[in-house]
Amino acid sequence: MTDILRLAAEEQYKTELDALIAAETETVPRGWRLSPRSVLTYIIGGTAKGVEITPKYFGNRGLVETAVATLMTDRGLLLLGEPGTAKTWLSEHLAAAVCGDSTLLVQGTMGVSEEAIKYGWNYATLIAAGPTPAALVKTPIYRAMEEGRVARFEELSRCAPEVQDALISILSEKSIAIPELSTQLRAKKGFALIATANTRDRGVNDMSAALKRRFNAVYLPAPATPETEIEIVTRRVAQISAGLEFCAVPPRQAIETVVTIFRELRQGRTLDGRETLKRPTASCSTAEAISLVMGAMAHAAGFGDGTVTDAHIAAGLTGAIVKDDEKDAAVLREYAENVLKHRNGSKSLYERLTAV
Amino acid sequence: MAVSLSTRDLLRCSPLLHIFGVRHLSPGASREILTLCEKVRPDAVLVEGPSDATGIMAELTREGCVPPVAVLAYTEAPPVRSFMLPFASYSPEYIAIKWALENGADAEFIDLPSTATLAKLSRKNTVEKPEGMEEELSVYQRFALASGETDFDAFWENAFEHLPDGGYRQAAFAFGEGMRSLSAPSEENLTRERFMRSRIRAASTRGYRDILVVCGAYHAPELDKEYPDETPPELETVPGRLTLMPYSYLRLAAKTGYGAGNQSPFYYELLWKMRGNTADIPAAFFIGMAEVMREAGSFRSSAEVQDAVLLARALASLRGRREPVLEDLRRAAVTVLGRGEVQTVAEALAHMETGTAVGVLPEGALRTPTQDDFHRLLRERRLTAYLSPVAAELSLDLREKLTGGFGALLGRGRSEFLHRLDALEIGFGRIQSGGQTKAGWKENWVLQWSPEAEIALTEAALFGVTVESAAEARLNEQIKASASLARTADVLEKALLCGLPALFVTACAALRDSLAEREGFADAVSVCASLSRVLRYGSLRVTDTDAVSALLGRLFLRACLTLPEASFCDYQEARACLGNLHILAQVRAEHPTLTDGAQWDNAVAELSESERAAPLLSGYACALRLEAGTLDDKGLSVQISARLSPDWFEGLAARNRFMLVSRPALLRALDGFLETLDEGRFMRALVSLRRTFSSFTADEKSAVCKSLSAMWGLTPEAADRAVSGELTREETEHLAALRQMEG
Ligand SMILES: Nc1ncnc2c1ncn2[C@@H]1O[C@H](COP(=O)(O)OP(=O)(O)OP(=O)(O)O)[C@@H](O)[C@H]1O
Ligand SMILES: [Mg+2]
Repeated sequence: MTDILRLAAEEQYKTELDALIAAETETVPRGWRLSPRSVLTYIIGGTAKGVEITPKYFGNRGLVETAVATLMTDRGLLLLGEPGTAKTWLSEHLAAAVCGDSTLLVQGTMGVSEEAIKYGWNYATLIAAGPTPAALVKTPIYRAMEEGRVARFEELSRCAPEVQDALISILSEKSIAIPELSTQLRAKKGFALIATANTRDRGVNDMSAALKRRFNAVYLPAPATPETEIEIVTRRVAQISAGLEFCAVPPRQAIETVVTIFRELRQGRTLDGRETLKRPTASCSTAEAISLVMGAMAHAAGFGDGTVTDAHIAAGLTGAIVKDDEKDAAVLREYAENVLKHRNGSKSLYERLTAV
Repeated sequence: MAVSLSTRDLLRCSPLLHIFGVRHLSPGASREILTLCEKVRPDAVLVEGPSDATGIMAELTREGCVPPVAVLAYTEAPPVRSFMLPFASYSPEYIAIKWALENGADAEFIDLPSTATLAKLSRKNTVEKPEGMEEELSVYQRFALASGETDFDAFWENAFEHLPDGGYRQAAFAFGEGMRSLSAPSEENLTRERFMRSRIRAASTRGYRDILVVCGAYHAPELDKEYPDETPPELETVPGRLTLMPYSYLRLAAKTGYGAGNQSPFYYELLWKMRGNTADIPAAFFIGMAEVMREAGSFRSSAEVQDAVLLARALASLRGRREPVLEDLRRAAVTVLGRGEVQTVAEALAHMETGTAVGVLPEGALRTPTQDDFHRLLRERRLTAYLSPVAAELSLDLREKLTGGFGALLGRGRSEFLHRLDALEIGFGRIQSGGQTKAGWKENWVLQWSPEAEIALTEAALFGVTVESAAEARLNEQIKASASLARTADVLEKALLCGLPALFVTACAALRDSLAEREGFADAVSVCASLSRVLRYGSLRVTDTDAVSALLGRLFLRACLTLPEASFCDYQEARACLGNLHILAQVRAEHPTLTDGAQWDNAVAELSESERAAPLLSGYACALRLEAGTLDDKGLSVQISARLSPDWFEGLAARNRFMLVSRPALLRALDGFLETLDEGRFMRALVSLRRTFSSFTADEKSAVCKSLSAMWGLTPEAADRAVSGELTREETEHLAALRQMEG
């Protein structure tokens, strides 16, 4: 969503991964491409043989350690958190670092069937030749097991209970029975599963205890302070824009403004704690702050002199918060009236917002 | 270890010196010391610890003495200074002493006598200081950082406690040298080392074959050094006493710093019990946790325990550790057993890390004079039966007339005794809130004895030889250290309850003397409240309350004068201020002759008219004026039209609901006001109105409904239906939104 050109992590950060492989001094677990410590370096940053490894996830090092350590054991890793707390982002980079392939992905929705988890059939071949290996359609999870790689499962909690049950057997037996062919697929060393789930989804609470028990849950918190959130947005914006054509300077002031507004709306309270606010249905996450700022910069570079102005931010805010919900329009309007109007230096943003 | 040849050459049959540097409370050291003892079988064991406490070693190792226990040293003369030297079952010093006494070796403490340490503490004017090395803490932190660890305890555990057998002594020696090169030893440490060397020299002349010296790792490199013509240091001492007292893991864990405590005593005890089987520690730890969790009703399977072990190992390997350290175990516990949530495992973790062990001393062991006094008083006050771990209630009657002379004396004596214990923070009796009734002659207590109380009792000896003198000394120190009028007033109240007239006079004087300082509204009110209570109960306890009356008058005045400033604040602060204003109004009502009525009326009037004050407070002030009759209906309607807002209304209603119910004009004005609001402001007003009305009783609510229905021309039934009927879906949604705004 933030990256305009969407390369898989292992492609985009190939130089870094290659450098880490070349610099490897520690034991690499079977089926992995890097030692666990190098995976950690890849995620939190460092250097490898003089190559700078950029930090991918900003936050508590301990969380990342727990995530990497989990992949070393045979439990699944479940990344939990509010929207936009880098669950998907971290899962993709972990997969890229551990096995060099972040693309074995199942997107969880209500409609996902057991066939999308284990295997399906190519019905034409099936009818023509009967149940043969050639007729079997492999799922990303099937392939990950077969090749000893990391499979990713997005939005696990949105899936129906039977699908979740299918995962239980995969996680506990590390095999898939294929009765039609009287065989079974047994996972190769290196197979691991990283799932993400959004705590705003009702489903998280409904996940069965049996399934939860198969996973190590790691909560990714929203950034603890405005300062860290500003830091995250600034660094990510710099990283992303470095790879893009347009040259607009990451606007410090604009980032501060956006992060402040998003935090206040997210928490339903002004940062000084004095006023309660209505919360919009939009999540106002760090991720959305990043894409808002990126959008504003793209606009400034394309149609202006590269300087991000209040007009760009106002447009971005309206886009990010209002989206399709009429009520959110009122929430934003109220916020402008009650907070921005009275805040020093927010006059022009207030005017832009209320003029829209 | 380098053995000083010159020492041995000096005397023909000079012994072999085995210097063993340890960290206090380190099970790894204990393990290796035991091995060394069995191998070398030293005939003398010299241990870092106050040399005048050697006599206590016998008590320490006596049958029935169960660590954690501590040697307590305290000055004889007030102000009491003291320090403690705690021992756990896994302390290397304790293990070495025990081995010596059980194996017929001589044992001796060789550090500065406690009387010298107490003299130093008296000079420094500190109440208590943990043994030894506190000032070097930052150096330890630096050492940990240099080895790539963030936390000294994790560093220590990995580098020392998990060392394979035989490595500890060397490693600790190198550690000590490293420390010394990082920070030059203090004068104090040099003196201590010079003293310890002199004790070692003295022991060396007594014909021993092998001498084991157990000391802090920091000192180890210095103790077998030879300095020509070295003499023992000159020491200044003060008279002091030594005793042994039960200690607890909780206390041990509360002390921080390299030498002082041990953040995880139960866990370190586990390390000790595992005797070096480091590989089995994670499983033992998680099994222990699972047991605690099962008792609390949540089941964890052995598969999960196994998974936790694996995760802990993986975490340790990421940090390059041999085996998981406590930090790794903790994180694995949260992730696997807690399923990602700290809360779920907090109790089980605390159990496995800190534990609840409390030391025991055998019957007839050393007792402090305060303990003796306590037991005597217990008998005199006929409270011996309450010395039980089972909580029991006790109701006291302080009146003299009704129950006859002796009975009243008994009640008052008991009350004072319990209040004195309370002042000493000996958790024996808890007074029930509201236990001291309005009438003031009755107190309800819950009495319960616990090992923690026993410890606190032993520590009371730090303040005085009797319960009375200890309580008095303790409260006196509090007066001296008091940073605010409110704290001093607190002590004044306690002095009264404890029956300490001299202290009462001191506290009064201290209060008077500090009045010149600037105190804000909140402080002034809280002192007023204290003083008002003192006056209320004073006649039952001490007679002379004139000084208190005068003080109350002055503080009441100060509260009135600081009220305007305190009232310029936001809503949250105004809520706290409202509580204080309420108290002040009570004080005014209770002591009409001691408080300045004109000032009060002024302050209230000013507040109700103020443009800048928080509306909540001016609303409340308005209610006060109505009550006092200084504002009539006409005045009220002026006020309403000038400042009606939800907050203002809340303040008004906080004082006098009857008035609300009885003045339809007020409701009408409110109704009109609400009509003028736009959607957003209306919702905010609703939040505040909900808050206001939620404190009304059912009767009050129904009276308001009646007024409203009359106003809107509704039948009472229709009004009733509107209020108590089912909510529509839309209303439910609105309510949910409101709750979100409130929360
Ligand atoms: N702590 C963080 N460190 C680095 N990047 C972060 C952090 N928090 C958010 N981001 C950024 O947010 C963006 C997207 O987050 P991502 O899509 O992974 O969130 P998510 O948790 O999966 O959200 P959702 O629940 O909506 O799926 C990424 O560009 C990521 O870099
Ligand atoms: Mg996601």
